[in-house]
Amino acid sequence: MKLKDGFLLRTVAGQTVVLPTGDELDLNMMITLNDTGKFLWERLNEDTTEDALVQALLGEYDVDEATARIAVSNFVKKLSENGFLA
Amino acid sequence: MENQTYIQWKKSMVRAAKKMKTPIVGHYELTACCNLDCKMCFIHNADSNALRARELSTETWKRIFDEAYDSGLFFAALSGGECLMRSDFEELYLHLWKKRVRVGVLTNGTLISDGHVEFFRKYPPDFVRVSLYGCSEEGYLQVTGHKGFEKAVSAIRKLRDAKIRVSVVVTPSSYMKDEYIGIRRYCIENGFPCQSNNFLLLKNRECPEKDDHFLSIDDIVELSKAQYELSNGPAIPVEITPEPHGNSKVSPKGLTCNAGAGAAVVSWDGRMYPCVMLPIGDVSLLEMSYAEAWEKTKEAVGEMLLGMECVGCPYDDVCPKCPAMRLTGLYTGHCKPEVCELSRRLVAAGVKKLPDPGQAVPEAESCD
Ligand SMILES: C[S@@+](CC[C@H](N)C(=O)[O-])C[C@H]1O[C@@H](n2cnc3c(N)ncnc32)[C@H](O)[C@@H]1O
Ligand code: SF4
Ligand code: SF4
Ligand code: SF4
Repeated sequence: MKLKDGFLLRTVAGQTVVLPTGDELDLNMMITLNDTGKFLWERLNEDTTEDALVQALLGEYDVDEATARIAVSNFVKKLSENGFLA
Repeated sequence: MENQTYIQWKKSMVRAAKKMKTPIVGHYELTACCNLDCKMCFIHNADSNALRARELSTETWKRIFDEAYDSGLFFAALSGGECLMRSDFEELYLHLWKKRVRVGVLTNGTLISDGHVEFFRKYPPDFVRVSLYGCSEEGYLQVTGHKGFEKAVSAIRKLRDAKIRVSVVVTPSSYMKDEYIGIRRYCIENGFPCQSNNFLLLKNRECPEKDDHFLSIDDIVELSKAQYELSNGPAIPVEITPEPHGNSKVSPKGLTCNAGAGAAVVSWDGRMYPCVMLPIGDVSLLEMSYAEAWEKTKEAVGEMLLGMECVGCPYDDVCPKCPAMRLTGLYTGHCKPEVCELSRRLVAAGVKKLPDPGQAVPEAESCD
């Protein structure tokens, strides 16, 4: 599992926004990531798995495994629904 | 990662920036020149050649945009004068657009060609806001000294057909009095989203003594009532209205709106202000960086005294929230008696309604 090419992140005023790098700009795709979203997004630049993402979250944030698993699963689902995954 | 409309998303970004005092919004007056000659304009004056000599070069604007980007710019608005008069308009627009800054355009619409429509289709703007100055060519001649109605409305239609976010703004002045309601009606009939600039206009920056464009309080009340009735039916007058008064002994400092908190203006000759409505701070980007100018602009805004008369005033909710409109001498801490009279008369005419006692007063909405 990996992100499609063609997106970059920009953080302004504490808000991290996903921006397309190409000339196509879809305003319905203006998306802001929170801290964990940004953390997971950056890991998804490389090929990875849901399990690896859960482990990464557990290593970085003070959360229990069940919560981390739900967070990862929701995030990945949203990415996939919005067409961000390769 | 919530799904929300673009407007909601933009508002949430601007709110976050305001909290952190990041200049996320930038309003750039690319030129003071214009193909029209509006009698009320606060920036353009007829001698374009003299002004053009003081305009910033393409390279200087690009330097300002790059520094603004590093300071947090995300939403730019290109204005003037008429920004489409600049031969490097598309180059400057693209410089921002390629950095993924959302770019809005404020224009009189009369110079928008099919080429521009194609360009905007390819590189969609955040918005195009077209000012209409009449609902007939005669009306245009009165306000702007030129014909332009057909050109402007045809441009609006073409932009709309190309699915570009376009809206209309109207600036009522003594020269437009007869056609103001006509324009509002025309927009309703043609399905153009339309808003009005405030009735209390700005002074011309170069000749502040010029005041023939201002509307009298009587005119403003009459036009506001006609505008209200256009969408709501007859306004019902109110017999007894309270005295405008505040209950504070000390003037609060600093603004509550976005000016100098999340937004900055750069004038055509390179000065930074917190808002076009508030020419204070007045620091030159030819002498310092965007970040340094922003620090000074924030400081100037933080030191502004707001009218203590407004704190707890029964009209606070219906009175124009824009601090620039409430203040006369910018540092005196007094609101304008004319603004008080206007607020009271709009309530008396049934055009604005006072909130129920005890109801919370909303914070000033940020202008974009
Ligand atoms: C200065 S113009 C520049 C953009 C473009 N030329 C246009 O007319 O839309 C920006 C806006 O300021 C409005 N405006 C002009 N003179 C004004 C004044 N004295 N006070 C307040 N707004 C004014 C214009 O009607 C326009 O909507
Ligand atoms: S079109 Fe805009 S810039 Fe030109 S004179 Fe009118 S208000 Fe001023
Ligand atoms: S300017 Fe408005 S809020 Fe302030 S005292 Fe006058 S009516 Fe009240
Ligand atoms: S409320 Fe007035 S001063 Fe504040 S940003 Fe809006 S126009 Fe400018």
